[in-house]
Amino acid sequence: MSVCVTSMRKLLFAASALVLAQAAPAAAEDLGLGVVPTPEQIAGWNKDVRPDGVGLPEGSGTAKEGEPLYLEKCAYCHGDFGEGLGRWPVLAGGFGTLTYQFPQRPEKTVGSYWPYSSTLFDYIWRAMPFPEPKSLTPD
Amino acid sequence: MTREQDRPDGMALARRRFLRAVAAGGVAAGGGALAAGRALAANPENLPPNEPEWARVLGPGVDDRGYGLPSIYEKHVKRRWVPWLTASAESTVNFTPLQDLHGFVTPNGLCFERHHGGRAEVNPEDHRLIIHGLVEKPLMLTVEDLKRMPSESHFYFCECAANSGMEWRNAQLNGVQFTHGMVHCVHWTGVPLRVLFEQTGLRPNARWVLAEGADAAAMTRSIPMEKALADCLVAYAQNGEALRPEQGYPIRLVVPGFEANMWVKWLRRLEVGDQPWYTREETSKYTDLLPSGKAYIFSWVMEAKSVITFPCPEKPLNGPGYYSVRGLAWSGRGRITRVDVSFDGGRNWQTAKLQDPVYPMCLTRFEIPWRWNGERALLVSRAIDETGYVQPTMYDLQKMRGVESVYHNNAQQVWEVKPSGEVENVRLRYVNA
Repeated sequence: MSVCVTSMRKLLFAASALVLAQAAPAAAEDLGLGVVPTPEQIAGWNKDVRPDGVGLPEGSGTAKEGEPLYLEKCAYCHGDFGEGLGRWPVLAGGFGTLTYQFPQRPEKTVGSYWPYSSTLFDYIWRAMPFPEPKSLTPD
Repeated sequence: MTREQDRPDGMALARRRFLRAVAAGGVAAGGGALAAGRALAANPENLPPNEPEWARVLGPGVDDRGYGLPSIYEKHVKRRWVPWLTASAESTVNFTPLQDLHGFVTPNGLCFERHHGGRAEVNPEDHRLIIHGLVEKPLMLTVEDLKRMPSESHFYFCECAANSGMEWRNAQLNGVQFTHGMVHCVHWTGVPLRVLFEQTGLRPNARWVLAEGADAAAMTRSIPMEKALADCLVAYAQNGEALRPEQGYPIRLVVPGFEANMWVKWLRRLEVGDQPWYTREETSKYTDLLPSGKAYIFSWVMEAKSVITFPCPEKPLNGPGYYSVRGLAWSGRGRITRVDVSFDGGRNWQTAKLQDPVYPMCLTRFEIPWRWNGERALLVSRAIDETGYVQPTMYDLQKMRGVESVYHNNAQQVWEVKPSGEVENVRLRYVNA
């Protein structure tokens, strides 16, 4: 598998010069279809956040301020301590378990496995709470 | 099943018993056909020399069904799901009934479903696709705008990265629908992303595309610009008709050969950027954990894979004699060039016949004649693609990947045919391997 991933990267790299030449579509005919969206229309949907912080909205907060919000909006699936209720995802713990092999299991949590905190903000903002997506505000 | 039996550890037997019951249900529903092979019938009065009942009455007229349905005798052919796999029915998967399909095209209503926030019901008049970011001119398009643009139509398979994901540790789900049913293959029609980006223009540092869905989960994946310009489509039709809601109506992304999670459904936004976004679905999920504790990220390509779809646990053999053994093969890297079949667990191999057409990144049907002598047999298939890659055994795959990858299990599948004709999902143990 590692060989395949590497070769894909090489393939993509090798293809990039060619593609960039294609990607300059100066000569393409303007079909005149669609409209230019307003900045407000783009902003309404453009909520993604990158690891380098690009896309983060204005706002601030602390863990202490977040606790009552977590207990109200998140704990009914993820548990009061991020332990996960039933089959719902475990959020906390799992440190040092990623090398576990059957019959032990790696515990992939936000803490043990997610590489970037930006992903957590991005995902919660767009898709959580599970039954009420897009109901949270950044501040 | 009780909560206790839902525990993932140590309950493989209970799971298999459950699945066997499901598989047996499928077999029972098709029992008429099986019985016919033994010269029995549901009603012998319909057999020659008598005139059958349907030959002696007028049938319903053409206005009876404005949209056609399968025969009432095909009701067992349906998608099925496994309730204990996941926490909810909204974020889970159901499976294509590969054991009941022929050729290489999947009927629209039988394509497996994988949703992360349920099936969105989108009104196309209120749907828009916004293209923005590192483009010369942002664009907002209606579905009608897209249909006016130059289009392409292609057959491609679409396989969930987690297809066969339950089989890493041992043979677990006793049915081809459940071991391999997270794949389908349809004829897609839509607008190439290349055409769309010709309309918007691209800035020189345009390297990645973020695709976002309009569903509750707002599925987002980063796609390399090279792939986007090479062969990706914004599709609005499958097998000649509008996309089904569960496949992303009115528009979805088609990313040939890459894992299905990137084929964003209910597509509403394409943002062009200079680096990937590292979204949840490309970090916490759809990454392949290795025994070292490190994980592959961006392991997009679905490698060459195959499976025998007859016989299989749902379709046992009906006594010794002649059978056409059939299956499907596919590769995310191009065309399938050869499929070998073994009847003795991989000791000896014979090359199967590939049915035309053989398209790149498309399901390919293979078939091989077999005269079953009624003895125990171990059926295996292995696919080879145009890069020369050979589908690995599970033993070899585990040496590279361990058993905790979840995703990208393309190992050879072994079916044990018992003297009774029953077929079971088994795992071979290699001695002195």
